[in-house]
Amino acid sequence: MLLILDPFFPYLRWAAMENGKVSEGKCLFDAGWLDRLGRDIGGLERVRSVGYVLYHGGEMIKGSVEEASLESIGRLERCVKLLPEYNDLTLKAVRQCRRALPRARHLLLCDTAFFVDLPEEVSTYAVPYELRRRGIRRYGSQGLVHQWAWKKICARTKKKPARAISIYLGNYTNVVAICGGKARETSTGFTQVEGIISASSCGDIDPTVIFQLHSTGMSFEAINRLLSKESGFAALAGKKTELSCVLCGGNKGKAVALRRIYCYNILKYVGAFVAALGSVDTIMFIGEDIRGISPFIRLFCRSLDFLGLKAGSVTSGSGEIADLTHSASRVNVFYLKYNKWRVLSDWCKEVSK
Amino acid sequence: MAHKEPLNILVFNCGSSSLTYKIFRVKSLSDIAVVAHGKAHRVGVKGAVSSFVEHRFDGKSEKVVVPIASHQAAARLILKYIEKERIKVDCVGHRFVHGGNHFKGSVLLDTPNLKKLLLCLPLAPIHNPISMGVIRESRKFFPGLVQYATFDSAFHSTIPDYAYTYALPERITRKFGFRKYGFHGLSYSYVAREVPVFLKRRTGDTKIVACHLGTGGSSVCAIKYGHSIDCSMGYSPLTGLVMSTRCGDIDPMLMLYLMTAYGYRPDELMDLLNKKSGLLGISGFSSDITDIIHKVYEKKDIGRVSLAFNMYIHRLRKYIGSYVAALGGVDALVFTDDIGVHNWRLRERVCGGMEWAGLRLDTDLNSASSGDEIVSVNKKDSKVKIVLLPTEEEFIICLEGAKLLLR
Repeated sequence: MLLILDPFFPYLRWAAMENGKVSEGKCLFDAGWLDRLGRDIGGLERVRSVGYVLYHGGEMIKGSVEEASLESIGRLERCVKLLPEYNDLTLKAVRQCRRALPRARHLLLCDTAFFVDLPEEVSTYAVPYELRRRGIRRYGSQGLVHQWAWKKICARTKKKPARAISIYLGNYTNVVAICGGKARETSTGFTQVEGIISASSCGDIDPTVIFQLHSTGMSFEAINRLLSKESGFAALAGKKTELSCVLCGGNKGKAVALRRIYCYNILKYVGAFVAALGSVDTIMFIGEDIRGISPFIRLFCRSLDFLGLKAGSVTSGSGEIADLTHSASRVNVFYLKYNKWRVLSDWCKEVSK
Repeated sequence: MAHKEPLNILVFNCGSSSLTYKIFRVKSLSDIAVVAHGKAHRVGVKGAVSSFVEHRFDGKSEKVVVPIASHQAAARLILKYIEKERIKVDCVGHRFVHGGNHFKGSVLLDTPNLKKLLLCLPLAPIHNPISMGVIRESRKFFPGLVQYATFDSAFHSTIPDYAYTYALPERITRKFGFRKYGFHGLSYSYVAREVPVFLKRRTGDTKIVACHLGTGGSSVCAIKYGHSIDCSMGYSPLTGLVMSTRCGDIDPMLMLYLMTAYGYRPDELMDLLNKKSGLLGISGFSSDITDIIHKVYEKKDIGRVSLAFNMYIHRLRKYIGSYVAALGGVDALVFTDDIGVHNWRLRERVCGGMEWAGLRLDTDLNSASSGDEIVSVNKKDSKVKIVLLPTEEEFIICLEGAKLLLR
């Protein structure tokens, strides 16, 4: 059995997979969590390998998947401060499981590793270089998904796209440029707030705004909450709004205005990354609901006409990958169905190969 | 449109440490000539080199070395010179960087508009109060003359809501006026006017990406059919490109992190991001891109100096790509202001590998250009024209005034 643990403070989400069957759940991370989990999956002794999602590996964890050895746990300890709540959960879970399951294989699945070696001019902010030495840089996110998608496309087309742009349409939408399999750019910055607007975070804004807010007496905590929890779709629509509503929702008033801002956000990053790559041969969209999203993708692709890109309806394939490339298109367009556990288990299998 | 008497317009243009003036004789909107011009240098700067004013009028030139404490004092010196030389002035035009939501176009400075101007001061805390000082001085000196103001932000009033909106709660954006305003509007309106004429195209079917690259601030603007649709600077001039000492785009959460984890005070951080970042912060060597380019091409001390150069180029290319996408393709890429027209090496790096956008630089034309007059430097078969245009902010200010007065 493969067990995957995904921190979701103060919970751990888990999935147990065996012979193609998946069971999943969520448990509060307290003193008895491992015992309860054992009961839920019919006995811990069945577990052969455990994968742990690490959301922020800083510059310490360089592999998207690596053995959670004592040595790597040492490095993991040093990146807890980058994302304290989540990373601490991952670290504790690794330690406890290693003790409880000494014969199982333990794997770290690091979401930022894909971006560790971004070119320096891409990862560095134009602030005094001293701050870069202290860890202020662009870290990126969702590397596991983007890199997985790239590998899938390679397997599917039997060749490696030279210059690809990967667009993840999900919680914290983000865009990544991939050159020959290596990350070349990402819209995510030091945190996931930078880049494209999300359900509750503001995306790119002028930092002077923060000084103005602070100077009127707003506390750091309140500004933090404002930018990361009360902005984005929620602020523009005036109420909590799911991404699915933005992608496939109605055609009236605020829904249209919100979709336009969201699309324009993505479009600007795609243009920027085409320039960063020097051209593009493949664009891939990653999302959960292929049927619901394909009208959105076709609409969005119309704005990429200047690249010679034309998207048609799904021409071939079903299930995980769909080819949307129109026969007259100069750029390949793919859609990949995103399933978190599927992506993570594929990464675990990668090591077993 | 022709007037019996030509109109003499005195134009003031404030830089952060300089004050440029020009007097234009306007016979009609298409017949405008410079009568006199000059510049006060090192205004309000303390240092080893002293401040001075230069004047050029009627074939004569004059340079006066004198301490100049403020822009208002500089304006007084210039106005006294004009009085001494008995140069006729019919009206005075001022440049105001940031008019916020209060001004969508140039206005005559009557009492209600002067009151509204005061509301704009905090929007550009460095530039706007400087301009206000010059306005006060000119009104004192020429109490009877018509004065008007032209706003950089006005050219960007056509940016659509989906491009200017920050995704913050409306109660916040409305209260503080948070949105993208954009800057360097005078320069871009000159681009929007001159480039289609130069390329013998109609403004109404020309899509332009314009790069205003100055010694201090720099930005990029997307111009669709004569109107701004996006600009890399935002609510303030801090965002966008890597500038001489400003950081340009950064993660907004970084500010909170630096204040809470590293204990920076807000004013200290503001100073850091505005005055100690950008090229200076990265290179640790110079805030001047020209110095940096020299160093890189001499292949001396490559490390952080070349990182600074690569970051400058990378960010600029990203914005060009973004705006090509925003425009859905482009007809002309324009470089303007001092750095834009005078650094062929910079342009060579920026335009390399942009064939995807239909852009091909003629490297010989590019390196041979003086940058003193409008010229195109693309290959003949390039779908996109690459144009160098020396900026003429004072001319635009004059033109705006002429339009107000000759109506």
